Formats: sequence, C-alpha cells, structure tokens
Amino acid sequence: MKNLKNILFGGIAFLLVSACGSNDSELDPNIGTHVSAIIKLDHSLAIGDEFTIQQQADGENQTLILDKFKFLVSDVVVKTADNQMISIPNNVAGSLIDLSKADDKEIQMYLTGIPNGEYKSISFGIGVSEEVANGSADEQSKLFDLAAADMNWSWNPNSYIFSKIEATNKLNMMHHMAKSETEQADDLWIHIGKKGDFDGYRTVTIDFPQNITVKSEVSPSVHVKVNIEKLFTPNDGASVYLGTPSTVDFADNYSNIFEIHHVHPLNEAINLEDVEMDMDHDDDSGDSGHNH
Amino acid sequence: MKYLKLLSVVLLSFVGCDDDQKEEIPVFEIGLEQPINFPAPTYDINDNPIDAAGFELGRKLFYDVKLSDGNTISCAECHNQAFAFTHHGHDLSEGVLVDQLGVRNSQPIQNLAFMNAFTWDGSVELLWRQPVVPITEKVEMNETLENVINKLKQDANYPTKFETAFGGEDAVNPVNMLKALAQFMGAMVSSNSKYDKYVRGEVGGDFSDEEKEGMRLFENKCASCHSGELFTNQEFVNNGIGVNSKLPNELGRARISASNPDLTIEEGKAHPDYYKFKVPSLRNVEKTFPYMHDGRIVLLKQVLDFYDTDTYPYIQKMDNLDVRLIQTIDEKEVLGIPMTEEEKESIILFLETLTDDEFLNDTRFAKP
Repeated sequence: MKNLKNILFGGIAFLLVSACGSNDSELDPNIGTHVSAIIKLDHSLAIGDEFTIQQQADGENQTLILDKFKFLVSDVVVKTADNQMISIPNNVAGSLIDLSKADDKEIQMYLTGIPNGEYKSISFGIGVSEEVANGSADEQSKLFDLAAADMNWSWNPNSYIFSKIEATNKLNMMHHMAKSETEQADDLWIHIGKKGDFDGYRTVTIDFPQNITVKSEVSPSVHVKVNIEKLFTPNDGASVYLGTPSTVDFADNYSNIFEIHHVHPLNEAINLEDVEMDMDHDDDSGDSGHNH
Repeated sequence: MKYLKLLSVVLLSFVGCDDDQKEEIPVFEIGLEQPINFPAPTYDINDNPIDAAGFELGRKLFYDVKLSDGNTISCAECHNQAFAFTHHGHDLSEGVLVDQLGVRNSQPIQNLAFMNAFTWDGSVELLWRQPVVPITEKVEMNETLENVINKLKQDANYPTKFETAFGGEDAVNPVNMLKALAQFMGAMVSSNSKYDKYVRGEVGGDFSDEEKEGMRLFENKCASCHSGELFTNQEFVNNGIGVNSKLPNELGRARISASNPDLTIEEGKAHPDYYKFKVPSLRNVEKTFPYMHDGRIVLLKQVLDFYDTDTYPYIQKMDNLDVRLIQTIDEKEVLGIPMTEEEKESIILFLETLTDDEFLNDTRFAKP
C-alpha cells in the first residue's frame, strides 16, 4: 500500500567529483574584472571627530564624538540615458560602507558588471529589503557575509541591521575622567532595521550632473558627499534630536545625507583585483592627482 | 513500507588526487518527505533542494564541535536524537561558558520544514537562518560565523564536501554552511507514530478504546491550540505560565514584535505580546520533557494539572492570557481547562501514541 505521497525533487543525480586541483584555471594577471564605475563617498566626519546637535527642541547643543558610522548597501540600480533601469545583483554590488575602514574620510564603492552605455543616475537601498531578506539564500550570500560580524540581529526575522551610528557624549567623557557620579548625559546609539511593524529600509537616488559612459577604456568616478550631521537636521521637516524615539525620522533622513558633488567621466580604467590587492596591503597610493 | 523508496538518490563517487583509489559512498536516500496527512511544507525546496551531499554535510556540521567556541560542543549536545533532539532532562542548558545558562528550554528538531517560525518567540522565519542563533549566542555556542568558516576551511574534509554540495568558488561560506544545516534539519520528518498509522489506516495503527477516548478528549480540550497534524496552530500565546523569577528579563514574543530593538523590561511588559510563546508541537512529547519555554514542568501529568489549575504552578492571569484558557462556568470565571483525573490519564495515553520510534532511531539522522 502506498501510504505516503512523496515529492520527487531533483530526481536522480549522478555526480562524479574530481578533487584534483586544476592547473588550467590560473589567473592571467593581465585579465581582471573591469571596474565599471566608482562611487567615491566623501564623509563629512571621520571616526573620532566631534560634532554638535541639539539635545532637545529648545535645548542646548551637545557635543558628540563619532564612534561608529556604517550602513549596508543593497539593490543597486543604474538608470541609462534612455531611462532603462539596470539592476546589479547583490552578490556583485552589495556593500558594507564602514567609516572605520575609510582612507581619511573617503570610501570607494567599486561597481562591476554594468553593461557598456550612458548612465544618468544610480539608486541603492540603505539596508536590506524584506523581499531580499526573506528571498533566496544564495542571492543574499554576499550581504549575509558582510553583515555577519556586526550588522546582524540573528534573533530577528529580518536579521540585517541596516545602519548604525554611535557617538559618545563629550560630557560623559569628561565625567568618566573625573569619575563623577552625576547623571550621565545621553550618548548617541541608533541602530536601524526591520523590527516589528517598523521597516527602516530606504532607497536613495543620486542623479549625476552629467551622464557617465561605462566602457572598457575608463572607470568613471562619481564623487558623493556624505553629510552625516544631516541625519539630524534634514532639509525639510522637523529636526530630530537626541532622545527622540522616532526611528522613522532617522531612517527617512538617510535620503538627505547624500549629495552629488562632481564626476570624473574619463577616470583611467582599473581592475577590481588591483584595487582589492591595494586594499589588502593597506596601500595608500592615493588618488591619481585630482585637484578639486 | 513507510517511504516510497526513491526521493532523491545521489550516488557520489570521489576521485582522489594523489592516488587512484576510489571511495564509494553508499547510496543514500534523502529528500523532503511529504507525509500524506501533513500540510504543505514551508521549506523553500527550490531555493535549497535537499540532496544527499548537502544533507550529509549538514549532518556532519550538526555533530561537529567546530561550530562552537573552543570546539567544545556540537548542536547535538542540546539536541539529542533519542529525546526527539532535545536536551534530555534539562530545563535550561549550559553553553560553552561555565555557569552560563541559556534562558529557554531546548526544542525538538522535527518537522521544521512545515513550520512558519522558529525558536520559542518566532525570532527566525527561515530555517537556514535558524542555526545562527545557537552558534552566536553567548550562552550557547558563543562563536562567530567567521571563526566557524575559518575552521572549516582549514579542515581536511570540509572544503571538498562543500564543493560537492554547492559547487562554485569559495564554497565554504556562511550561507552554504547554513543551507547544509537546513537540508539536514528539513529532512528530519517525524510522521510514523502510532497515531499517524491510525489516521492513515496502516498496520501498527490499532488504537485501544482508551487511546480513542484520549484522542476524543484531546480534540475537545487541547486541539484548539495543538491543532492539526503538527499538533500546533503555530500561534504565539500567553498560556498563563507566569513570570519565572529567575529569568526576569524574559519578554517572550514582545522582544520580536516590538519595533524598538533596545526594548526595556518595562516597555516589554506593556507590549501586547509580552510572555507569549509559540504553541509547541506535541509530536514525541513523551520524550521531550521537561516542558514549557523554560522547562519549568517536568512531567506530562503535571502539565495537564497546570492547565486544570490543580496544583502549582497555577495559571497566571496576565492581561493577554489566551481567551481559550478563560471560561465561564456557573457565572464564575474559571481559568484553564477542567479535566478529571481519568480524563488526564486517557489524554496522556493518547499523547504517547505521538511517539515515533522510527524517527527516534532513524540512523540517517544519527551521528555518522
């Protein structure tokens, strides 16, 4: 009697695996992954820098020292001159921007796999959407890896922490030094994710002041200012103050912090393997002589 | 015959490098089993198909101490097959750190491919992501994914097994490790208890009159929550177990459904999901003692006494106590589920028919 209904997934497979190291896959050092474009993020602050924000709506300014500023980038989409949207897979373009890894205040996002052509804008998500987080495991492999160490709430259905900003109130630093028992001032600690009914995933769009051309001869560089303080003082609407429990405002304000500065459409072509090697060796060979 | 004997048969044949010896791994039958009396799986079989290579790798990982800090314990430490993959006799479990107890009772690993959410508070909704919790929790294995991956990369056997299971460059990565564990756990289906044979009309499924009476009583008194073939409606409820004074930080489901990741105890207590926990499956319940989210109740009989509000612990009426546990009898409010001693005995006889010895002794799930 056939008493169970079985699902036959995948059928019969016969695998013959050779564990031998192959000699035919050695990389030709002259062939690499062409960097289609570079997004250079120039932050307004470095880790350890001081900045001031208001403690309350009518309160005094408080001075804070930036300890941590990082965010996950997913779902990168570039828009062609004729308004086609081209999505770059998260296993290629997914990134963790971490100010503690910056060269001074600059972080370069190297984009690969963009088809040749003219482009007018780029958009990306801050964090990881529900669709991606609950979707294919394989398609979020890189994001998951990037988030594993410090951007991960393993005990949350969407396990990604989208962004973190942490700063120490200077008053507390002085109190610590004096070993004062007085009441502590607020330190800043904002972690954004998808939690309960709140989803802090936001999409940012950056329009280029002039179209960039992706082609093998160049690796165009787009310079973007990241105004960290604007997380608290948006262009529109009410400011967000220390102690404000509104994560919504902080999440929304991420769209205010990015500001296009200029582009270098004819930046010399580079390969990803070369810049990764530079990063591994902590080589600060620097920019090839741009004066702004 | 329990299974149609062809789920997915993968014959693996390894060819060594340094010599021409061929290591034949025995033909291995594994896949996602769909018992005819079960609901549709929640496991995404297209995203992570279960095959012999992935299952076998997942099993190796499950029984490997490399997943823990200091290589001290494996998943099997607290998930022992003989007890439906729970921690025999432990209310709470010590992890790798001496004197550091976890805060929740180890749950059985069975039929997870049919569940919507995992852990007592539903903190994880995808099976492949579940192992991150025990691996990284300080009171459990206290390890980082990065360290685990590094250990596996340095191992003599794992890199080949990962490549066989998943292919591609850098096959030893966190997602592949978790996918392998999910394949192993997803294949762990308990569906051959006496009860299953009874409902499917199979040999070995003859219920005594008392067991039939127990089933009738169970359906009347317990099945509004422990419903269906999984014996859980998969809801999160406050069952009146009350605060454990040794674990004052416990918030239950409120920790997950609150939008504030740094919820204080006071905020958590005010949340409508405070002290709600997932209704557990009762399959193999005879073997999974002690009971409740914190393992507070040792015997099955005592669990029924609790719901009957007979003896300590009594049902605690928090604001969000499940309404199914509040009845009005003779215009008086009665908490819990009234049961006579005879009825409890019959219900326990029925619950014992949920024990699946074939699952508890299935060598495919045992340490190889």
